Amino acid sequence: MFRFLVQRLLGAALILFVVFTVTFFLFFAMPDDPARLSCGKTCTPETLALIRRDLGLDASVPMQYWHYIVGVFAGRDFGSSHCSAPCLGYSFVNHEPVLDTLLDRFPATLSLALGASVIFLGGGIMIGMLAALRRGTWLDKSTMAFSLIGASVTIQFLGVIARYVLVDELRWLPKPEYLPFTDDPGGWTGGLLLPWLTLACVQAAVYARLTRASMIDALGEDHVRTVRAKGLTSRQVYFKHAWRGAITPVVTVYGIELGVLLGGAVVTETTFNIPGIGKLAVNAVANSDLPMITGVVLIAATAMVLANVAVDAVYAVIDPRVRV
Amino acid sequence: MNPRRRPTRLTRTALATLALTLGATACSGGGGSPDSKGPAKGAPKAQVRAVSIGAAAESKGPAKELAGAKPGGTATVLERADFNHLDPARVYVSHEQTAELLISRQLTTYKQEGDHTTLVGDLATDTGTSPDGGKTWTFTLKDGLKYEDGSPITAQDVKYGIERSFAKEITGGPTWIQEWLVGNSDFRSVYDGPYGGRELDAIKTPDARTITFALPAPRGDFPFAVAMHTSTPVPRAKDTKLEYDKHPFSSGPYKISAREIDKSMTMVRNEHWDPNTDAVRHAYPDQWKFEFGASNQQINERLIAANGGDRTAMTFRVAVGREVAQQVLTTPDLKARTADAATPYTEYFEINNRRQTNPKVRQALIAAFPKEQVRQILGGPAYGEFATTLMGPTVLGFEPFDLAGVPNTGDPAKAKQLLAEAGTPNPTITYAYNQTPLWEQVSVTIVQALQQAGFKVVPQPINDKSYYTEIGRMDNKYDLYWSGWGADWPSAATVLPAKFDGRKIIDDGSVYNLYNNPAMSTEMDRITAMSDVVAAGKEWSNLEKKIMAESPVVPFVYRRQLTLYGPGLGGVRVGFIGSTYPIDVWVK
Amino acid sequence: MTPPLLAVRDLRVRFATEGGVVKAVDGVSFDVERGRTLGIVGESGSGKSVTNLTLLGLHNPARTTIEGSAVLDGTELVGAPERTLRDLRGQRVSMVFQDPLTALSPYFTVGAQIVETYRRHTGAGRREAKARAVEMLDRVGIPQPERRAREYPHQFSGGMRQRAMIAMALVCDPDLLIADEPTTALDVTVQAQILDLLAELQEQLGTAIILVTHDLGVVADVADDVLVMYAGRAVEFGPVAEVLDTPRHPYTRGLLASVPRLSDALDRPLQPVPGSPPSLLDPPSGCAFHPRCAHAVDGPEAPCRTVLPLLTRAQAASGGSGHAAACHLEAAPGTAAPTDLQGATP
Repeated sequence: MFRFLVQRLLGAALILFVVFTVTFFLFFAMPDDPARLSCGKTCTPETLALIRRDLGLDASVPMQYWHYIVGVFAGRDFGSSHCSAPCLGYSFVNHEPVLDTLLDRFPATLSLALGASVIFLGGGIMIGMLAALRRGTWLDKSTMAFSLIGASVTIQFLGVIARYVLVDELRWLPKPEYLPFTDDPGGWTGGLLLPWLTLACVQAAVYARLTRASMIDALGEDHVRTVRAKGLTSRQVYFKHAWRGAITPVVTVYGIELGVLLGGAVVTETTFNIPGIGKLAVNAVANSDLPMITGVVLIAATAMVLANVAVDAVYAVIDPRVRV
Repeated sequence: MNPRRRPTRLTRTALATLALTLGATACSGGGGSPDSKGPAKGAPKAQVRAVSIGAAAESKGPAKELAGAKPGGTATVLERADFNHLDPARVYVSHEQTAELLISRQLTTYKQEGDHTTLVGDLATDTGTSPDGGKTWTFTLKDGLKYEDGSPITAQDVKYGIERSFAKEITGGPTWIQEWLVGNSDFRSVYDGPYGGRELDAIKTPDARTITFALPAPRGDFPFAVAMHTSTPVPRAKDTKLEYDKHPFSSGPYKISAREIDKSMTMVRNEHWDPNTDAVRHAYPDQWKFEFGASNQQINERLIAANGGDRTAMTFRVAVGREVAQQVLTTPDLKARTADAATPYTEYFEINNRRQTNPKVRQALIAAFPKEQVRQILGGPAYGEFATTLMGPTVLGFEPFDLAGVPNTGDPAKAKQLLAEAGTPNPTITYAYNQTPLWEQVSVTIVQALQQAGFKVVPQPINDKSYYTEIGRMDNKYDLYWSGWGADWPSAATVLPAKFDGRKIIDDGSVYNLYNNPAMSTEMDRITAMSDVVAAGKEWSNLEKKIMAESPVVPFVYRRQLTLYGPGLGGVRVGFIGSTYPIDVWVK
Repeated sequence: MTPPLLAVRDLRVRFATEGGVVKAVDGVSFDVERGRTLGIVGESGSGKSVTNLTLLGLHNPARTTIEGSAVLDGTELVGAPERTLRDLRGQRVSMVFQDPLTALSPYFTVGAQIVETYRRHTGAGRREAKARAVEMLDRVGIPQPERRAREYPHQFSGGMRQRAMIAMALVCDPDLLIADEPTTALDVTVQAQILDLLAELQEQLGTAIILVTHDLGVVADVADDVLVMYAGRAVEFGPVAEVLDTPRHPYTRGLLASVPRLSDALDRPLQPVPGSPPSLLDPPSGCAFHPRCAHAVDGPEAPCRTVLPLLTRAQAASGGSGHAAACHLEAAPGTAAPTDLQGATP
C-alpha cells in the first residue's frame, strides 16, 4: 500500500512537472509580449526595459524557467518584495501574488463544482436508474428524450434563457452571483442556485444516459441473476447489488469531470460571472499573463491528478477486487 | 500623445470604449444635436466644440446644481474587468481616469456645461499663471482642501505626487510633465523619483499653498497637462509605492471602503471633501459600487433588462455592442437611456509612406477607400462620423476641411485617374489587418473597393495579439493598416507630433505611417513653444492642412461613444476623458 | 403413487426479438421425483437452460411469453405472481450456475452472500445466519470455513467457488436444486469432485436435482433419468441406463458417438453430430433434426419433413420403463402409443 502510494505521488508530481514545462515553453512560442501589454500608452524603450526587468522577462527563457522552479521550492525576490515558497510569481497584470489569487478564486470554483455535482449526480443517477428499471416504458422513453435534449444544449444558451425566464421574468430564483459561504450561507446558496442548476441540467443528462446504460448492463450480469435466484426482492437486487456494477463507469466519468470542473468551469463561470478559476484562466490567457496562466494550469492539473486518485480510492471502496 | 495602442489587451477589444471626449455631449442623455443622427454626407459636418480656458471665478465651488438632481442612494458601475491601475500616477486609459475623478483631484480640471468645455482650477484657484511666456508656471491651492482622513492637502503633496511618477516602479501613466520638467524623454535618467531621497528642483513649494514649475522650454499647454492625474497630491506618509495602486489615498469626494481585486469595489463618501472647493464634482450618490467580470455583452443585456440593482447601474467604458445596437437605437425607452457623444479619437487607415512614396498613389488610396461600407460593418453611424482631417473636432483650433473631396463610398474612377497620373495603373498594395472575424469582413470590403480602382491588393492577416508590434516595425512590409489616435487634452500638440513627426519614428513607436518631413517637424517645435493656446490652435490647423496635402493617411472616422445606463440614474453623460462620466450622476 | 415434486407439462417459451419470435422451448414435459436427479442434455440453444430459468421467473418478462404448466409440490409456477416465485427461489428451489466467478457477486464476501440468502428466507439473526453459513461452507468441503467466509469470491479457486455456490444454494435446505452446467467451467479433476459432492449432499439432504448439461458423461455419472432436448423440444426421455445403452433417437445416438469412453478402443474415431443446431427463429418443418439426421426418409412428402414427431414410448423395447423418443422411425403407426406425459396437459 505504501509503495503504491509513493508510486502514485511520484507519478502525479511528474505529470505536474511535465504539464508545467509544456505550458511555460508554449507561452514563449506565442507571439505576444506581456511587457508591451503592461507598458501603458506612451511606451518608450526605456519604460519597456524597466517593465521587462520587473516582470523578470529580461532573462533568457531557460533562466526564467529555472527562476520559476526555484521560486516554487525556495521562494524568490521580485524587486523589493520577497515571494516565499511555494512562489508562483505575481500576475503581470494586477501584480497580485498568483498563489493568493488562485486560493481566493478556488472556493468559488469548488462551490460551483461540488454544488452542481450533488445535483447532477443525484438527479442523473436517479433518473438513469429509474429509466433502466422501467426500461421500454413511457417513463424511460420520455426521460431519455429529455436527457438527449439536455445533453445537446450548451450552457451559454441554457444559462441565458434560464436567467431571463427564472430570474428576470418570473423572479423565482435570485440573481446569480458568488458570495463566500463563510460570509453568507443563504446568499451563497441563492446566488449559486441558477449556475448549479444550469450546469447540472447539462451534466445530469449525461449521467442519466450513462447510468441507464450501465444499470441495464449490470442487471444482465450473472451475479445479479444469482441474487434474483436467491429470492431477494427487486429493491435488494437493484439497490444492494446491481448498482455497484452500474456505478463504476459513472465514477470513472465523474472522476474526469470533477478534475475538469475543479480546474475551472470556464463556460459556466463566464456565463454567470462567477469569479472562479475558469474565468481567471480566460482572463489570464487574454492578457498574456504568464504567471497566472501557469498557476491556473498547475491548479487544473493538480485537480485532475487528485480527482484521479480519488476515483481510484472510490473504486477500491466499491470493488474489493481492485483493493491492493 | 495618446496612441490608440492597447494599454492593456482588454481595451483594444473594447475599442469603442477607449475614448477621450472633450465636452460636447452631442446626444447625451437622449438630447442631442442634429449631426449625431445619420451619416455625415459630403463635406465634414463634425461640430467644432467650444473649448476655452476659464477665469478664476469659474474655478470656484460648488458646482452648479443640476435640475432634478438629489443626493443619496447607491449607483452601480458594471465593468468587464477591474481597473488595472488606480494609482493616479499610473492611470492612463480613459475608464481608469474616470474612476479617478471620484477619488482624486488635480491642479486643473474640465468643467462641462452644455456644449461648452472650460479648463478651470481644481485644487488650484485658477488654471495657473506664467510670467515668462510658458517657462515658469505657478499655481495657488484653494482653502479647505482635505484628504479622506481630514488632513490638509498641501503644495508639497502635489510636488511629491509628481516626483513619484519619475520612479522606476511607477509606470503606466502619462509622461508629459516628467519629460517637460527635465527636458528629456528619458526622464528617469535625469531624476529617478523620491524613493532614493532626492527632490526634483524644478518644482518649488515656497509655502503650503503655492507650487511653481520651472521648465527648460516654454510649454503653453502646461495648464492642460496638469489636468491629467500626474498632478494628484500624494502625502509622502501615505505612499505605499506599488501597493498604492490597489488602495490610493483619496483627495476626491469619495474614498475606497472595500476592494476585492477583479471582483468588486465600494466607494463611500469622503466626509472631509468640501463641495465649496470643487467647481465640477457634484457627488450626489452616497455610495458607488463597482462590479467587475461580466462580459461586455452581459453588461449590455443587464443594462437593457435593468432589473433590481441594475436599475441604478451604468458603465464607464462598455459601449453598446453591435449585437444590441439595433435594439437599443430603435427602442425609445432604451434610446432614452443612452449617453452618446463624439470622442477625441480619430481613426485612420495608415499608409506606409516609406513604401508608398508617390503622393498620387496615396491620393488614389484615399479616393478609392470605401469608408461608408467599412463603417457599416463596424457599427454604422453610431461608430463615428466620417473623417477627412488628421485631428478630431474636439481639439482647440479644429477646422473642418476636405482636400480629397471624394464621396464616402469611394470614387474608383477618380482613383484610376490618379493612378494613371502616377504612371502606375496597377500598383500592388499589401493590406495588413487584425485577424478577427470582424476585421476579416472589413478586409473583404476594402480589397474589393481597391481592386475596382485598379490596385492589386494582397490582404495580410496578422495575429490578434501581435498586431501593433507588427505594424509598429519601422521595416514592416505592409502598405495599409488601421490604427487610432486620441488627444490627451484638447490640443493638436497631443496629436500631430505623435503621428507625423518623422524624428519620432522608432520600432514600436506611434508614427505608424512612417511619414517624415523635416520642415513639418520644425514647424511642430515652433508651435509647441507658443504660450497662447488659442493662437497655437490656429497654427496647428494650418500645419495640419499642409501635412494632409501630402496624403500620409486615409482619415476614417471621428469615433463616437454610445453607452447604456439604468433608468434609475440621472445626469449620465459621456465626459471629457472619453468614457461615461460619474460626476454629475444622481440616483432618482 | 405420490405426485412428482415437479411436473412440467407442455411448457412453451417464446422470446420476442428484433428478428422475430424465437420458440426457445416448444412443448416440453417432464417430471422430477423427490430425491432423484434428472439430467437435461442438449447442445447450446436447445432450450435446456431456458426451461429452468423460466420455471423460476428469471427471464425478462417484457419480451417473453410462457405457456403450459409447471407444478411444484402443488404450486403452479407458470403465471404465478412474482411474490410467490420470489419466496420459492432460494428456499424451495435454488440454482447453481455454470461460472461461479461471475455468478457470485464480486462486491460481497462469500459469507455475506450466504448469510443474505439464509436471512431472506428464515428471518434468522445475523449471528445465527453466520454460523449457518460457516456450517454450510464446512459441509461442502471448504477448509477453514470461518476464515474463508470473510473472503471475496476472487480470492477463491474455481472449484472452491463452485463449492461455495453450492453451499449458498443449499443453505435453506431446498427441495429442488437446479444445477445449470455446474462443472463446465471447471478443471476435469475438479468436475468429478463437484459431481461427487452433489451426489453426496443429495444422499444426505434428499434434495431433488435437475442437472442441465451438454455432457452425457456427467449425466451418466449422476443422473437417474435423462431428458434429451433438441431445438426447444424433448427428443428422448427415460432412465439413464436405458437411454445411454439403447438410445432410440438418432440425435441421442449422435451425442453418444461424440463422447469418448474409457471402454472404447483407442483408435475409435470420435464422430461429432454433423451440421449445426437449427435457428429457432425459423426451425425446420417436421422433425427439427431431419436436416442433420442420417436416417431421415427422403422425399418431399416424407413424415420426417412434414410431421412433427411425438414423444412415444416403445413398450416392446423397454417394458414400461418410461423410455420414450420422438422419432418417426421409432414410432411406426400401430406399434407405439403416445406417452402418458405427452397427453397430460392440464
